[in-house]
Amino acid sequence: MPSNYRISLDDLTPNNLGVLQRINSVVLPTSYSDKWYKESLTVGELAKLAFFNEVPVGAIRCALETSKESSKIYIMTLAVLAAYRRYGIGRKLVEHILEYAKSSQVKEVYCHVWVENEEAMAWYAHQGFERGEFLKGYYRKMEPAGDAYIFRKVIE
Amino acid sequence: MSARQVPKQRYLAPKEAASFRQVLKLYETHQYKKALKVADTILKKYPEHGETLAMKGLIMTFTDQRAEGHELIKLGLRNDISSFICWHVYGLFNRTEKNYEEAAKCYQHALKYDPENGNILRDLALLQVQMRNLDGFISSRKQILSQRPEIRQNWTALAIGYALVKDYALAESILQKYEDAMIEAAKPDDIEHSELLLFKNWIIHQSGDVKRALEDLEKIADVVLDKLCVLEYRALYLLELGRSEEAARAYRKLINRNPDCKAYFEGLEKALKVTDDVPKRKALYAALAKQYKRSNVAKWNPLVFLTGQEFKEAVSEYLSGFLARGVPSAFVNLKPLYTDDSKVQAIEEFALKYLSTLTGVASNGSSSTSNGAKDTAEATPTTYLWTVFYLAQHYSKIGKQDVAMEYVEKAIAHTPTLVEAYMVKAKILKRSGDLQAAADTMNQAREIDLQDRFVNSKAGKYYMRANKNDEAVSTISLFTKNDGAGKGVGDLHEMQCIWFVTEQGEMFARQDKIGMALKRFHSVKKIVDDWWTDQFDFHQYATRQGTARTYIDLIRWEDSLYSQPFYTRAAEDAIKTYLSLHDTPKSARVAAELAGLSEEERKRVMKKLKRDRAKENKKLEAEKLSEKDDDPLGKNLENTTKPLEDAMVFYKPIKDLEAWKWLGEEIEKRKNAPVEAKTEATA
Repeated sequence: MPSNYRISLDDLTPNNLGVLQRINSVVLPTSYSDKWYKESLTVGELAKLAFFNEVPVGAIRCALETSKESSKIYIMTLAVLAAYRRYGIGRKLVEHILEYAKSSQVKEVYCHVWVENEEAMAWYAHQGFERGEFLKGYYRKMEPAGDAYIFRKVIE
Repeated sequence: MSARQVPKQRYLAPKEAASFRQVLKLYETHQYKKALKVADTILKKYPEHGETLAMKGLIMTFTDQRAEGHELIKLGLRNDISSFICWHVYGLFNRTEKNYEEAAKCYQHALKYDPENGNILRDLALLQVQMRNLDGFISSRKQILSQRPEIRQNWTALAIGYALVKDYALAESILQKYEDAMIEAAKPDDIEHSELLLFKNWIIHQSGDVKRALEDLEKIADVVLDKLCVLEYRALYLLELGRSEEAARAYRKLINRNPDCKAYFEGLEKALKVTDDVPKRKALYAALAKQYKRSNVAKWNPLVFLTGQEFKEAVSEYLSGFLARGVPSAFVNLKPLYTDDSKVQAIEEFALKYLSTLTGVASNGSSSTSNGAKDTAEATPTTYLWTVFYLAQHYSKIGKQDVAMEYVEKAIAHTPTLVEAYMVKAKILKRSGDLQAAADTMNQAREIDLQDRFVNSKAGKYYMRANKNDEAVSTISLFTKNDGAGKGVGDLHEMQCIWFVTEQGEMFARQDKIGMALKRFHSVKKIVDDWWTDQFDFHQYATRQGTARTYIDLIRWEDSLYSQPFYTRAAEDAIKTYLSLHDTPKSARVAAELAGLSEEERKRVMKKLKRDRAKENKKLEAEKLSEKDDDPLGKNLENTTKPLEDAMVFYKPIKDLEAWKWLGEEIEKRKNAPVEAKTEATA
């Protein structure tokens, strides 16, 4: 397919933090605190913005969880503006994280998905994530509380 | 000079005479502290010695003792009124005070006592050209040239003088004489020589003798280093001589060098005589656009002369290319065409039609590319985005703010991260008259991209339009140093940021903060005055570097300085403010506020007024422009007793401009009005 669009990733900086805020607030049902956004500036490669023809349209923000046995990367938010889906932007963001995990010896990348969100579950499966534990009432703030599945990908 | 010729008051014993020469030397090498010490040793023995006093005074003005220095200079001159040194010193002092007229007088006095003094003559010539006393300038430069004909810049300077008074024959003959007398051949990389040759060629052309200019150009073409200039001059001369084919070739060569220079295309059109022949003109541009695919001029120019169906086709191609590629400036490019209603109509029709083919990528993430229509096969979400974005600007421009708002909201709903969309929304709100919402929206745009100074400035401006000074200042201060007084406001004054100073002044005027407003308008004038004095350095620099043509351009630009909108806008603001001060003096305004109130109410209102003002003033104290700013609120300006004279200060530089005559008439009308009438009216 002749591509008449370019997708590129860029770092999150104090100057474009407003973009992450705007994308998350439009796409995701949960809202995040200012503190959370400020912390996003400290996670380095684990937060990225995606651009479609130079316009910022997607973002990922993860956290590194380290324990004695192993370390994992947890995808906290992944969002792409509705009009820009099916162009491989989400995949590119997740691929970036998977590559980063591999290069820094992280064994697992995982996230939570609301059980009603069929589209997201199918999407993660398509990216090679495996469905894991069922977490009853994980989304406590939902009315009624929402259940979640864990989706994980083990890094070889 | 023997001692017996020296007047009594100037006499120094040999030891002190040597010391005095030392003072001069130390001054020239900027060793001011030492120079002062030596001067003091002379003054111990000769406390009245005029030349030493003057020199000491001059040096003190360089060591932060301006006032004392000034006094000593004057004293020195009084003690030795026939000394060229004393007069020269006083001239130098006046020059640093930017009092050029006085300085020139001093130099002329100095020359009376030492007519052959080259340094003083040169300084005088600089002042004369600065004050546009061109006849005086020419006569000074003539004298300098006769003293030192071996120096190239003395010839250039005199030729410049003649060129400035448009006596091209004399200008040329001076340069010719220099060339004839030149002993050594110029080195091949001698840029000054090259510039001088081009200057002479330019002079010949200015004289109207195009044929000879062309002949001369061919003679010097190989030596001249500025090859582009030769090509441009040649093309122009050929065109003016009616040698069309050669001119066309010359312009094609230039276009090939730079396919985005409008002037070259115009030249080619004239050479080919197609300007009035639309089919030929169209064909020419079609060929050029094909040859120079990246040239915007080749694509854009036909939009100006094509009409009807042909325009529709041309603009469709132009605009669809821009929208598909996502060029944010598409509207800015087409804006000049909006003076033609039929073109506006055609653009609108096309943009709407184009949008209707983009439904596949329009809605929020619904369908994929399964639409099937040919047009949408290549369309991406950003194509849709830029198209609704274009339509928003289009409708706003033609005054349909409601429709514009619908489109910009579509853009924002589709891509809520696009800075430009919020900026256009802010503009639409501004045009609809909701200045507060406009400012808030512009700030939203700013928050998406904090490092973009353009949108930061816009947010600052929109806040000022909404009379929100605090927000404006804290916003623009995000990009300034802020290590001086008054946050970014002081910095922006120092940076000569005229738009900001003007906008702030106009805001203060709207808020009836007359002093602050006047202060800003005076700041604008000061900035422009500084630009006027800045040219001083170039009088010397240009002749030394031999950049005569650029220098003449600069002089002509400086001559138009005060007619440019950045000055006239502030001048109009200031004059109107002063006129209102004259029409309604402060006492009358206070009286109007209190009219019809009982004694008690009056007291209460006065008290409240005082309290409010004190609060406000305290805040504005923070707006000091520098540590030395002793009137941050402009009270001295507001309390003027002669507002009409103050208005004249702003009017003087534009008094000869037809467009501003009415302002002068407004001032005159009030000057001539009988005073009694006014007091009656306010009584």
